[in-house]
Amino acid sequence: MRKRDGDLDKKGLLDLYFFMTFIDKISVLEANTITTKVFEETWGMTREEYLDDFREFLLEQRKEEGLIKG
Amino acid sequence: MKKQMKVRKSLQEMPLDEVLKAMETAGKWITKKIGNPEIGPLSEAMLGDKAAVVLPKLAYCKLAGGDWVWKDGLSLTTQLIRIIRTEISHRLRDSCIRKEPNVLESLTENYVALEDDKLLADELIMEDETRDLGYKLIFEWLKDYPELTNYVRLVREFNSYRAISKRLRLKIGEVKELEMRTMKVIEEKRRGFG
Repeated sequence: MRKRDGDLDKKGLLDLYFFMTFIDKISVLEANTITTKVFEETWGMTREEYLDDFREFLLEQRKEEGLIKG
Repeated sequence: MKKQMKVRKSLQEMPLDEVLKAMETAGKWITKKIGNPEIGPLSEAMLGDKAAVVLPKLAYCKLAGGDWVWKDGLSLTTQLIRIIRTEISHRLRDSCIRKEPNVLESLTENYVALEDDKLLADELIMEDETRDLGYKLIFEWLKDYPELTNYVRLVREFNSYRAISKRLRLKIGEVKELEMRTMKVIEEKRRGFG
């Protein structure tokens, strides 16, 4: 299907219509197959620790933007 | 610049829980795609921290800083995953290119891992190219049909007849009719495309 780099066969694309249509949602579906247990075992941290890390990061980002007082 | 500032404002004003949920989902996608590699460009040793921690933060910063253009109609989760997908594929590609001269030395475990990295990089880049080019083509073909263009935009965002019917305030049967009309136009254009 690929003729050269970046130049896909346009006709062939339509045969993949449903694949294209759902590719973004497939990513989210894939993500949601990961259970909390699998996640925690993979990374060696609890979900709470993980979210706390992000929460701290986001609050720092917002502080830097002057949206919350530090 | 104006749009980027607007995007940054929207991100900053988004409820924290909503952003957290999007970043968590992105982290889970990373888990699914690459696991926690012990070696290679996505390992903790190379990134400085776990990939599931580093990459969502990087993606958020790219969106907030305007390095990545916000795409209207797409959820924050989808956009974070897209950014991360590109980031992963670039890092894997760069790593494979740098290591290329040594690849054929022997069929070691590292060689197999390198080949896996190349396959994943190809797969991720193909997903991006196929989707973007496909949507571009579909929107071109639907440009005379604003109702159907809007429908495809919603399909791109929501994988659910129910969600789309809610947005459009239509019954699910009516949404399916929109889908049939869209497919009919696309098939006709496709035949004409030869």
